[in-house]
Amino acid sequence: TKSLIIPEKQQLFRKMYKQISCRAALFVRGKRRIIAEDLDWSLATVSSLSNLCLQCIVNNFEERPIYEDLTSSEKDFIQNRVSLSLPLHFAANVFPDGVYWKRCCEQKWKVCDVSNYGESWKRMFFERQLENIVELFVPGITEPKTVLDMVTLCKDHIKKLNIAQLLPPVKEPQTEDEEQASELTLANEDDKSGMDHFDFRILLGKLTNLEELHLVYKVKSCGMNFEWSMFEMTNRDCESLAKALKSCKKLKLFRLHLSHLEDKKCRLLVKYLLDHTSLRTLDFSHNVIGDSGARAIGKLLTKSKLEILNLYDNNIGGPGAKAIAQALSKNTTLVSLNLCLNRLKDEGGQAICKALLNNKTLLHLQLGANGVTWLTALSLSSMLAQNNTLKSINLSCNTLGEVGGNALEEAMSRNTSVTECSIHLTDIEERRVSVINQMVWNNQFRKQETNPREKNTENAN
Amino acid sequence: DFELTREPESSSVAKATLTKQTLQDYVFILICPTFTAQRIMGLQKRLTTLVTNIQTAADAKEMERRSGMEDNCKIRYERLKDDAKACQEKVEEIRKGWSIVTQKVVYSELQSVLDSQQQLCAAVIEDKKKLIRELQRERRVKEDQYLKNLRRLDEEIKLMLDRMQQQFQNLSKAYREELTQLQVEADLSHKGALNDFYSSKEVKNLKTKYAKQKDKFMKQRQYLSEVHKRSRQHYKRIQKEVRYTTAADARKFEEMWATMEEEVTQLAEKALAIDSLICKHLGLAWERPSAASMESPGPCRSQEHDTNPTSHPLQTRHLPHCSQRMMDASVGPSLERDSEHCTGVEEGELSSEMLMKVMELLCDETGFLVEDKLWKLLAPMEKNEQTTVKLHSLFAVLGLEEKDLAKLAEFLLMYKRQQEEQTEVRLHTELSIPCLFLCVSRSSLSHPARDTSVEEAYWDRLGNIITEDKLKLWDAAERELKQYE
Repeated sequence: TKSLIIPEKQQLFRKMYKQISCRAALFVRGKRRIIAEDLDWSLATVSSLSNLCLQCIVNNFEERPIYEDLTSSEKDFIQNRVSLSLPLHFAANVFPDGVYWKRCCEQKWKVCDVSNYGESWKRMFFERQLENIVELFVPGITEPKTVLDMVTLCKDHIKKLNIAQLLPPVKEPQTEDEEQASELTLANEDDKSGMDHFDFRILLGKLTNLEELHLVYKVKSCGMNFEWSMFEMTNRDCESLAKALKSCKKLKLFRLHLSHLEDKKCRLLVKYLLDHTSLRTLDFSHNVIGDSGARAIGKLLTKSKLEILNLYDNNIGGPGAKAIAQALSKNTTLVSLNLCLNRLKDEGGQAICKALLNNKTLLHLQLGANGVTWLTALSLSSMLAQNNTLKSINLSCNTLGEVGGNALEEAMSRNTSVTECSIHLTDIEERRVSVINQMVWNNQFRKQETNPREKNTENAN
Repeated sequence: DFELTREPESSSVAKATLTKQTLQDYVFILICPTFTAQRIMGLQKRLTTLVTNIQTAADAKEMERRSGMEDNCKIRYERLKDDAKACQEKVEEIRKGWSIVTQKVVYSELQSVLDSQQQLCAAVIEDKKKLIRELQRERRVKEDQYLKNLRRLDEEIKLMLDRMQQQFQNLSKAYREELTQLQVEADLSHKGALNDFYSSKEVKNLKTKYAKQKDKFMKQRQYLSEVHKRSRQHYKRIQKEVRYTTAADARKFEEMWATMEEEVTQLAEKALAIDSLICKHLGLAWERPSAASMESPGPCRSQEHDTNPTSHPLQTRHLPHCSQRMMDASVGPSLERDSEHCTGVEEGELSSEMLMKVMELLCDETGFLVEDKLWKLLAPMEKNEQTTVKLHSLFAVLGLEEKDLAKLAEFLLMYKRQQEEQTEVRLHTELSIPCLFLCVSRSSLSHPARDTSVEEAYWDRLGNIITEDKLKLWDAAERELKQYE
């Protein structure tokens, strides 16, 4: 029996011992195990001398900017740690594109997609900064100096500007009498001189590397203070903008949308763009350009080397389309033409199709939602019999009917170059639509088999 | 009020058709895993059109709205014009009335005229008010429509975002699948190639290796046995030759001996005759030398040791040959060991111990000649018994007898001593065996060199048949004779 007890006792003792030792360990751990009198003592090891030096440099960077003489890893260290509140003019000169600018961007803005800015954080920072300044510029109140100062810092780094609002000058709150008076009288066109927006002449000439300019004359959150003048340009605005554009020598893309651009202003802008050598893309979508504006644009087509022309959602009618068609028949540079959501009707549609008989460069044609009918479809199909450069066609939202559908089907059966054809909502029988789609698909597949896989380009709308 | 053109698909119908398309897409994705490139292209196209269809629907709505707006504008314009005309007429009437009013003096007439004027004015105002109300109502309706439009646009944008999200997901899934498929294909092809490459190198490799080695050894064995057979045949031929040549030599020797003897005896007789003449002339007594001195030993005596010298020179000839093919290190050091053990051994004297050692050595070295079956039989026996049995069989094969063993041992010792004097490279056991074989195949080993003293004595005697004194005498006689001439 003794032998039975002892192992049990042993087990018991073992258990007790374990518990005690655990408690003791906790107790012991609570106490300081290292006896040292240095209150600053910590387990962290002392960093190397070079790190300490670099930290010192970081702390005193503004007074003594030591940067150029360092190795690249040291430079990264500094960029990672230096304070973001350094004065911009200072930082712009010292730091090239890198981590510092990334930190700046991420601190300022929530969403930072550097691929939109050519993978350059410095460019993103300065472009967005300048955009911000211009967007918040109140004419008459904000000093132009703020813009000019920023421009001097960053004029070499700005390649694209996407300005999403342009504020009108602040209107003095009118007295009741004045209000009543203004309500009764009709607004005079010339009275709008007081509503001139930001004058681009002070800006664009200095941005020597600017290649893309996106503008829209609107106020983003006007709420109940809505006024029509917030969403349109004045004549003087237009003139100053046109002159500023002329001085911007490297501009490749100009987009002015949603700004209530009508014929008169359109003609004015085009007048100044006629001799612009580097412009390749012109986007006047969502404006109110009519036939005479379209005529001016036709003239621009003949004179310049435009490749992409976007006149989506305007007021262009038959005569305007005829002018553009005339330019198109002689043009050799235009690649994409978007005339969707205008008032072309058959007169304009047929003119464009006839013009394409001679054109060997246009690849993308958008004529959706223009009120064209089977007549245009017929001329289009006869054009497709001869033209084998056109790649994508959009005729959606036009009532082409069965006759039109038939013509298109016949055209597609003979044509081999069209790889995208949109005939959505064109009142064509579904079976025929699927047949046409199948033929177009075959064209596309055949092309992709011979070429390595290319990206499928959407209809740029 | 509003004349609506044919309404294109309402949003719900549009949604229904579009969801049907998405379902078709999913089915397509599930069913067709092959033709990945085509499939992905189709997928891209389909999904993109889904997104752009929203835009086209919006365009259609916009067109509709525009045409509606145009119509409304026209209608309003017409209406305003009518209203203005009607109003104008009424105002004209009122103006005319004012002129009448100024004409009238009578109060009641004035009153009635003024009343009618007021009515007319009120009518005008009423008309205007009605118009204002209608326009306001229109405006309100427009505002509601605008709000509704905004909400619809918002929904459409949400739908578009959804579609784009789906497109993104579907496409990335398709791309991932394609990628895995490509990877799998690449893997398979790679693996297939590797398999072909490695299958030769598996445990199969070892088998082939083993088979190859076995073949090699078999071939070697065959080759060696061939060599052995041929060398044996060669040896036999040589032996035959040797015997023949020795016989021939012996005959030749005999004949020569005979002729020589004859010549020599003739010459001796002649010399003796001359000697007797000279002695006669000089008056000296001349006696013939004893017949015993002219006794020739005869050629036969040499033949007794014929076989021996032939073997010996051959052996000695072979020894320098084998000087480069010396005995194996195992034999050498074993002999050394043996010699160490038996320090008291003199040249030619062998102890039984040594002999045993030599036997064992022989046994070990020629073990390969013993058949496997014998090995198996020997296995259960004791070591000594083994060695004796082995040696017995070996000697039976090699044609050795026990007495030769002693000679062999002696030879080995000698050999070893020679070895010490020279510096050679130890060779493979296999090569020592032929050498040993050659040595052993001699039926008798080294013999002492033959004794040629008897023949020498004979020739001397014959050569000296005319003694020195006699020669001196002849010289003197010659001189005397010459004096006389």
